[in-house]
Amino acid sequence: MSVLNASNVVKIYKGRGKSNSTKALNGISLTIEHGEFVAIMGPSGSGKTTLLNILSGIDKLTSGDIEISGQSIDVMTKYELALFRRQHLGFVFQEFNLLDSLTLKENVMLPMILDDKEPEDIQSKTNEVMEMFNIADIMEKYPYTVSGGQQQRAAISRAIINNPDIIFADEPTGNLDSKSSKNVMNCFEKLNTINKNTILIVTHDSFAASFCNRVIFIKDGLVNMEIRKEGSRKEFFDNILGCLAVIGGDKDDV
Amino acid sequence: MTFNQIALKIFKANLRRYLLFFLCNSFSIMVFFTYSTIYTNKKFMNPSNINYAITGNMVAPGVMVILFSIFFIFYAQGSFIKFRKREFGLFMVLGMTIQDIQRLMVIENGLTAIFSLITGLVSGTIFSKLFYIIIIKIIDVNGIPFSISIQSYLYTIGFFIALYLLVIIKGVIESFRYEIISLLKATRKEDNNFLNSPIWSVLGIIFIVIACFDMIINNGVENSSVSLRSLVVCFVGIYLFISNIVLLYSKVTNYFGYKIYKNLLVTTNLKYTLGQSKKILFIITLFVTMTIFMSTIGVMIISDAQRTADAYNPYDIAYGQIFSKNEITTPALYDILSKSETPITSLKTIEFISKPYITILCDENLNTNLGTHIKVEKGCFISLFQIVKDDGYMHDTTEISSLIIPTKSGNYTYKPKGEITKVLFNNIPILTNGHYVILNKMDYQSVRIISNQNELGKIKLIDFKDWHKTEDVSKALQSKLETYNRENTRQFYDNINDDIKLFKPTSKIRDYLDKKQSGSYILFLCSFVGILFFISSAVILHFKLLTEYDSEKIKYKKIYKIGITDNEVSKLIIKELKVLFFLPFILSTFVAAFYSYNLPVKQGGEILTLTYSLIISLIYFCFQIVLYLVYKKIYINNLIQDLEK
Repeated sequence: MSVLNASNVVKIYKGRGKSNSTKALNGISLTIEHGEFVAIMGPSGSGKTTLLNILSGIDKLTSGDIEISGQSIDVMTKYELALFRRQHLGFVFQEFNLLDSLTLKENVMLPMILDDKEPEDIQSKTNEVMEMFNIADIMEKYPYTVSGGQQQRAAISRAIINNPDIIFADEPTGNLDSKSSKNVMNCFEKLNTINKNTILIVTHDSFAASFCNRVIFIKDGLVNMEIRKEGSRKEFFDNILGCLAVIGGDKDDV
Repeated sequence: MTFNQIALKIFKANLRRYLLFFLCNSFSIMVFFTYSTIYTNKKFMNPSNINYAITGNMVAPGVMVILFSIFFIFYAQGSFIKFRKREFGLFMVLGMTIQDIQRLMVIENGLTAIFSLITGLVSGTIFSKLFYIIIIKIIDVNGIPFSISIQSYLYTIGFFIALYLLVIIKGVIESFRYEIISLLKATRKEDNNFLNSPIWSVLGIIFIVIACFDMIINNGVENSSVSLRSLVVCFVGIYLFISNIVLLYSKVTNYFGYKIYKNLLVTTNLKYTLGQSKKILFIITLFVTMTIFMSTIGVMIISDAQRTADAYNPYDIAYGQIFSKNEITTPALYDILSKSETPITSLKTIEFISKPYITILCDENLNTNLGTHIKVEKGCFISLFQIVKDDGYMHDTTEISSLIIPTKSGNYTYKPKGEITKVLFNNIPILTNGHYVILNKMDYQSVRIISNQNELGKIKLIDFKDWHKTEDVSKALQSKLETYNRENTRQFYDNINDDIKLFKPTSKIRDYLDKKQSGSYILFLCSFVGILFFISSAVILHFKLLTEYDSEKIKYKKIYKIGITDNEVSKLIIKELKVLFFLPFILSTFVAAFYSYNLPVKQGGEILTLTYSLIISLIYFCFQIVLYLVYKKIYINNLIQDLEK
């Protein structure tokens, strides 16, 4: 069963003047099945983040169609989209995006509060996910007093608290050192294997991508190739590096 | 935890950050309230208690406070929202609907409004008493009690609630256009500027030039609205000019081409700062200019007080005897005058006949008593305008074409034969509305015979050795006349206060003190409003720098890694701070100086007003320099410490 189905997605950024528009996405189509853990990779400027923003309804597409759990998100009103987002989607950002004025725990429970859930449910669910990611002991602390890895794990907790159909993550390891990156990717892996959550991440980091079971490479706003994990993570990692070399990403992207 | 609890928690966290803004809000409410307590003090605003020349001075500073409150609250809310946009974007990503965000806005703005109103009104209640004591001291009147009417609370609450409602409505309307993607990037985005084109800056300069010429050519005493018109046009021009100052700046820097590479950081920094602070720069310019300009007017009135008192009061004390008012006996008069601190030097009396709107004088009577040499032919009359030309005030000098005196045997018409423009004697209140005409002795006598006894009057003119010491004697005389009129004559006007006002004696010292107090009063009000502006502009600047502090830190951290010394960092920052702190002041100094120079004053007085304006600018500038030095030190120290972390 597919969770996300995008067909012919085009995004044109209009600049000033007629000749000044940029085609960021050139008619991308892709499908993500339930329980998949997918990474989108590609050179700088290939449209990775744009794609993620559009798939998740944060940005508007120019043409095409996106369905998540059988519902077409590009025809929804702002209000419907807001409700849909909080009930069906989870988000993780590169810069964590936690609110400094709230404790980690309050940050995590925020989506449930917005959805007006029962206080007991909120409490138990928050404890459950925070324990799962080993941040239960710091739940009363404020974001700026804990490490980047801990902040990102809190952000992941927040993303899954409402049992979303799919989790979107934009460069989740982009601001982290390698140890924290590994930690965070282990969390995603855990979610995928134990909770059977569907996850879509955009990343530069081949190491992070090697935790996934499918990697889609895009270039110039189109899907260039995709590979699936067969065998160990080490083999998959080498595989990814090979693909990046083929599509000509910068050395930095490797 | 519920949504409202979360909202409250976020609000509290933000409030800490916006404490200064909140305090400024309260401060403007306090000032507004203080003003309204005086406006609603019926005794204070009653022209028979306090000269309208004094209370009328409240209007301009009052309007400035209102305008400022409107701007400041809108500006504060705008910055508040701009800073919050990222947070709103995040909320929306997490599934908050626009309606939820609007709810959040209403809660936050509502709470800010309520808290500001409470603190503003409480501090205003305390402060207005102090304010009142000071102004009573300045204008030197007794017997007007301080009171806070319920209206002053209602006006303040009404005005600010209306203002906050508008702010909330504006926020709610804007929120309908929110897009998550742009919200997330909002803090990094430049303010959009719909006037961004060289055409506008050219237009701005044209406006400024038009305003200047309008002022130079059309301004005059008979055209007092010109300065306001010109000021408005000038500020529209300045706004257009400042909005495009970046473009102009780029043009200048581009002209130097690659040479600017040497100062690349400075030029790009300045460009960014100018682009980001157009509104602030404009508003500070506007308010500082107004403060300087109004204070200049105050100082001018004070310094002019003696001259105008002298010009319009050739005699130290004067009063009119007409309609059987003020007719105390000469011994009774001497009885009072002899008690004066300074000896009396002369007492003169001139006669007049009061006809509706016309006061008739006799040439020979004037010549003998005042030492003039006026000769009027029989059958003619000379108009007398008791004014000083070109003294900066407006005067009505329309001549009457013919003088018709009705007699039993028909109307007798006198022909005009010239005019005299000179202050021969003090203008007494009961006669100020009419024209003075001088007749030949024979004609005067014949008019006198056919006139009603009530129409015949006298003006008593008294001189002392030193008029500066005549305050007590003039007060004594006034109360003596008041008592006499109350006991011996019937009331002439319906209102006893009007009666007193129109028949009371005039004196040089009273005129002088009134002018001086009126000037001191306006100066005090302006200083007070000036303090409000000064503090608020400091807060606005501080807040602006604070919101950009993080991005500045990141920027300098990047350069720091490349290799920049602390000294170089502080040099760069100093240049930026200088522009923010001083550009508006320099502009204001010029604008205020220009308008002060072109104020309608007596001939040759322009240089003096210009000097006053420059001195006031300098005083303001000194405060700003102190603020700048302190702020600079703290800001740079903080930044450098953060960079080294």
